[in-house]
Amino acid sequence: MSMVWNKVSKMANGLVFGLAALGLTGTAALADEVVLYSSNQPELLDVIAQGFKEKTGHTMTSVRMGTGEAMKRIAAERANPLCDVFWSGDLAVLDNAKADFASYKSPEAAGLDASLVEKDAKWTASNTHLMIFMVNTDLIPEADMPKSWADLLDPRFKGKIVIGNPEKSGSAYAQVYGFYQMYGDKGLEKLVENATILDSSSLVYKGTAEGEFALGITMEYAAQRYVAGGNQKIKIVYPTDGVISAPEGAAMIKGSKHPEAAKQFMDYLLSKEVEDMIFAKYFRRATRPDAAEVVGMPATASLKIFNVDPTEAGNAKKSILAKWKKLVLNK
Amino acid sequence: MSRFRIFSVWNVVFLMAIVVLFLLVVYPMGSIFQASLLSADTGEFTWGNYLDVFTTKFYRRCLWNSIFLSGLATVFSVIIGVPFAFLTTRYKLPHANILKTLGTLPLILPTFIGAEAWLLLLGRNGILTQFFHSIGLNTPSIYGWQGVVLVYTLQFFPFVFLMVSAAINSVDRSLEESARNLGASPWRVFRTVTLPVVTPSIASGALIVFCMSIENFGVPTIIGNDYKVLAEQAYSEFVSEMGGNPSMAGALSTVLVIVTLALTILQKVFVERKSYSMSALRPPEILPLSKWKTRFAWLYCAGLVFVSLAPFLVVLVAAVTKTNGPVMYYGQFSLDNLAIALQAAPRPILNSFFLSTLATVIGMFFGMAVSYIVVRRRGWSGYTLDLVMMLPLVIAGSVLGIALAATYNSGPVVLTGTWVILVLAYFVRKTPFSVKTTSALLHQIDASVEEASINLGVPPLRSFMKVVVPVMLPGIISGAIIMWVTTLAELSSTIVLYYGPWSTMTVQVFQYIGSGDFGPASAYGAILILSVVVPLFLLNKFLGRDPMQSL
Repeated sequence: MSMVWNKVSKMANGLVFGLAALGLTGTAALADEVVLYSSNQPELLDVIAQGFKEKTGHTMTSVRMGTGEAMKRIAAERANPLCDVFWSGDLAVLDNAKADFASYKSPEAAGLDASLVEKDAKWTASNTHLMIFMVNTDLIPEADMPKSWADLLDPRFKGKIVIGNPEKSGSAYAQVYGFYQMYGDKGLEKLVENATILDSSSLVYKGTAEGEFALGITMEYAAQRYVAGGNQKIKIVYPTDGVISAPEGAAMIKGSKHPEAAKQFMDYLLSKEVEDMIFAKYFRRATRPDAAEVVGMPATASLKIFNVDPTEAGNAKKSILAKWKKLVLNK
Repeated sequence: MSRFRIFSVWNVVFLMAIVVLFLLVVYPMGSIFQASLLSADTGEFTWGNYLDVFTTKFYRRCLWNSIFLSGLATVFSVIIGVPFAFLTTRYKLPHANILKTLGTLPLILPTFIGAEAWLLLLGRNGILTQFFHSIGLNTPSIYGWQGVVLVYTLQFFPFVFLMVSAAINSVDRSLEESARNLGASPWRVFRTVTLPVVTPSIASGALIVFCMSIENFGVPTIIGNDYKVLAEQAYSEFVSEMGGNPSMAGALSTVLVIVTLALTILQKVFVERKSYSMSALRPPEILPLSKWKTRFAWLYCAGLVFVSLAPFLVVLVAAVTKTNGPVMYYGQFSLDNLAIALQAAPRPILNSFFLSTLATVIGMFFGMAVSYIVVRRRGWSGYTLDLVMMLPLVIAGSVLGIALAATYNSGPVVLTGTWVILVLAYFVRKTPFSVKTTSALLHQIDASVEEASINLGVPPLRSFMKVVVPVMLPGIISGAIIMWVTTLAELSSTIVLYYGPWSTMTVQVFQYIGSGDFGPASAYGAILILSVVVPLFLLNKFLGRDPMQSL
């Protein structure tokens, strides 16, 4: 029965692709199709798909979904993997799911710090998110902007701060984890007291840009997109007491149907050319030590970086989230 | 009686319909219910998940929020929808037909696009908000529950309007005339004759609004701020990147279904007790109004249409507005976003058309057979089929999607991760519309006509094709159009079921909105709007009436 479906499905796939090819693009040479599950924004994925095609001739199709959903799908498809590569997700989340990944040490990853490649090369960190404060100066004048995490705990920011829900979002968990390492139970209590919690981490930067919130705790790239796009109300604060850095990685799926093309895709993704392009155009900091700098953004070396260790963050998850939940439910 | 021998064609069709609905609705929902009764930690039987829903302050608040928002939206939809129906159906207003057609359009716009558009107009930094501020009016931001209610009301009121105006048209003229002749005042005629006939349809319109509101998670996610609702929680438990809880997702989904199911049963009891069936031989007279009354009535109707269509305007403008990343430059125009949508990524557009068309064609034939059985076959079997067929209307799209994905991801038939499951989900979610429009017409043909054909020696299936189908045709066509249009706008089941290359236009829009890129989102949104409005407009011309109005 399922074989019949597969056949019908292939036919329909062919039909639609055929239509697309006839109408709008040239016909593709015989090449593999790499399926990518990704949490990244569609335009970035489109650019990468085009570049990859030019470089290797292979097609890359992406399915966009949250990291958690992707891990669930990959686990559900274990018997019949429908995806070849996943990119990019929090290392702690990837580490949890590494049973579903294949080992592949890309030659492009040779220069990376040992902590950025899993010991069996099940995942490789491609870029890192710096956790920053995104401020809407309509609501908090530049002179009054907080400079550090400690400043955020001031009662004057009560109700002005938004943060993602660490129970639902990996980036929000990295923020809460890093903050907890710096300021402990007391700090966490004050942070929950001052902040509004949103279920989706994208609402944090979107709402801050739209002026619904004064200050969002979010990822550097998300805020920088507004700054670079010309929204002059948005300012980025790199906290002086520690910029939390949460690396993200890529992984090849175990049992991938196009292993050779998948490896080529990993190499392409981790190459200097692509990493520099992603940093310059999409503001995601490259993990490569030889990465180029970007005008208008501070060099990593000039910031006080607080590195999140994926294993320790993973181990502490249960206890920190339990503390968080208790504080939130009693708010 | 020859139509229903044990081995007749119709028994086979009946059995097939039941099997299909069992596999696509009952069994998957059963597995969701089963998951809700298992402990997430140990996998053993427990009532604990339900206990959690009702004892945790947070979930109780979500449940209350869901009921509050949907209730409020329902009340407002009735308040604005009923007068709109009366004014455009009973009274002589300039261009009433255009007003009616435009009044149904909000149904085709995916609700989350409406939400984002209203945020752009009335958010804290909104275009209208800034305008109001500049003239000294300090309007608050709609970010929060107010915005959610606004969007639900403006996008769902057409359900009330459509149901009520159909009912108004079925009031026979003679009824009101005799009441007037007996000396009743116009107000009294309205209260004692017209209103009772129309009430059941107000109730069914209100019920649809309530169900559509309570199952929606896109709108509260986008503009609800931290005002959280049940459908959103069920969805996010399912997709959580921190490892969600399928048992909790099951329990939350079941609670949602129970709420809507209970209301549906209540409504059915209420309507069946109060329903007055009549065939309108002479539709009610269209009355003229005095000059000033006409002006006020027209202003109300046109104003309502204008406000409810404002999101369309926003989307069309935003689609051709210059953008730099997520930042929009209003007043500067560019075709870049449209070009990208059409050239670089046309696949989602083709997918949307392919999936909707296929689901509609299957649904059309299935709906035709089911409505025939439901209408002609009285007794428990017809009743059961009707009930199961309508069940998807009360099940949230995301819940049905999750149920299907979980049921068909292993075992003899693996459908999860294929386009087939999308077609099946669309088919089962939208066919009820086709059954509704078709069976309404079927009620009008007497069974004896068909029996005569059979008695004259024409086999049952051919009799059906020759005698019944021609009568049902208008209902079939408008049912198909409603299915097609609403499938194109469908997000809730798609978002949990789509895979790989099978992303649709709505998914594309939702994701662009999620990442803050309203420009590209609007480009896809504009294509979606045009691809729905143009065929509707052509059909309207071709059929000479608005297909949306036969719901």
